[in-house]
Amino acid sequence: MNHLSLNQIRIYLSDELSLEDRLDIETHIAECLHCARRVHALYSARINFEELWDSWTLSSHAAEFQTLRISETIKNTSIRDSLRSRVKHWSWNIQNGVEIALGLTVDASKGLAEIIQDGLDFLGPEIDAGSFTPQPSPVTIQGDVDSSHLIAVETGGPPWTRVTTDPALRRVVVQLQGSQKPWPLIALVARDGSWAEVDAFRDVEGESFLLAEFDDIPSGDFLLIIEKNPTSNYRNL
Amino acid sequence: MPANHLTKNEESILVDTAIAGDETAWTRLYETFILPLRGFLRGRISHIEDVEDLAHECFIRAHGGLMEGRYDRQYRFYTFLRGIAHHLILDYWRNRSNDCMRFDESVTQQENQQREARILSRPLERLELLHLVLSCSAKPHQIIMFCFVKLLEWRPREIVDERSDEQLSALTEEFLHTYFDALSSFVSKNTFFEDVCSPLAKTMVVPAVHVYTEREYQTIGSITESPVGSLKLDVFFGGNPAANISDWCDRVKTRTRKMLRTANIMVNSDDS
Repeated sequence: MNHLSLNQIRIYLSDELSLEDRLDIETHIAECLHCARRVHALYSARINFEELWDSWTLSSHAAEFQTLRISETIKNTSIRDSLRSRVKHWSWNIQNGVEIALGLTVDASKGLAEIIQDGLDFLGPEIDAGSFTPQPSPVTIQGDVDSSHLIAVETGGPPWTRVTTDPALRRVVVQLQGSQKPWPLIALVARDGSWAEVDAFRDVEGESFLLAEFDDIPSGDFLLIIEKNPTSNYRNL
Repeated sequence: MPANHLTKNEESILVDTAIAGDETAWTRLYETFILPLRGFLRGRISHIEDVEDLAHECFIRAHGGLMEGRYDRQYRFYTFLRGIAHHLILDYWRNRSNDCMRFDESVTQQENQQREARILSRPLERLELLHLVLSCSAKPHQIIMFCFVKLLEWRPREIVDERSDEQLSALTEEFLHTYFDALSSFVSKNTFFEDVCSPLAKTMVVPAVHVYTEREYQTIGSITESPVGSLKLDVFFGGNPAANISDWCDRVKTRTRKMLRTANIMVNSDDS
């Protein structure tokens, strides 16, 4: 059977088919992920029509796709066992679970890095994306391929956060002024969903800040996000 | 006849034999209907593990129903199964929302599952909704204006001031490309332009006389033999263009909602 058309799905969902047609279509849905998703989408749209309609703009639609990609990428990243349930929990709460977010572009071959603070609204209205300095964004530095050039931005505090990117060494270091345990999760996620690394901050002996480091990152566009309210999230697991 | 299409007589014999305790007959019924039943559930519940659980629960209840004489012979066995599955789905959602209210510990887990389902399905729901809007029976100029006002967030007054003189095909192109650009890293070009947008794109080349009624024909005058796409937006305006645009947007919503809920309204395309 070919994929179901929009009309076929509509008619099917209206329950106006013969038993034989219904059996054929439902057998197909059981075996075809593409059609199962479409049927489920239209079934949900029937039930939640007003809410879906009222909140519908191109921006909201694109934001939902971005959130989906980040959630899936984080969820599927290999991670040590002790963090697995926390990360899974966080992955489905991304939209309201981010304290700080930052866009990063890294081109290791050119020693180029860029930090972008715009276009992160989809992660929620209250994320701390605008308070990094230096402003205004984007902040760009172009360095020599043979030498290491750092680009650093930081928020005021307390607690302050500092992000240092070294494009030539393909390294991102994040420092966060110390907070209560559990230390927050932090993720560096490729915007296209092709790569991600998730970890929790760790403390550094003799220092007042927590540290997270990402090494050997590929070139590309990234999103750096730091978990919001790890204490309450952790308690609920 | 496909494997799962038993005649009423065959089915009746299997049911009688199953009631008499013949496990082979029950197995045959199970094997015949488990796949479509899964399909029924998969179209309504996104969690594949929950679908499997509900499918098996459905057969357990159906077996109990047969043994206790609760199967009404005037209905086909699959209709009986689907009825049980329908109630199980209602219980499924009811239990999830009750759990959310009752147990603090499970709130996060339940909420997570709901968030997960929502995050997974919401963008696809909107894509299907866009497909419906672009296929709905509202007039092309109404659909295009809806797309600009609702989806691209233009104000009707801005459209009147800045876009009145433009042809519908140019406005359509602009909308489709703007929408696709925003989603291009998530949706394939083929899916978007050939599946979702083709109904509206195809309408642009149809002679206007085939799309607009005689009453509307008067407002667009002598150009009705021209393609719809060549019509300029301002030929559709009445005394209050901004109010016209708002009315058109409402009409698109009404048509889309009706199309989603009623089978006998056909969409404007032979999509596949």
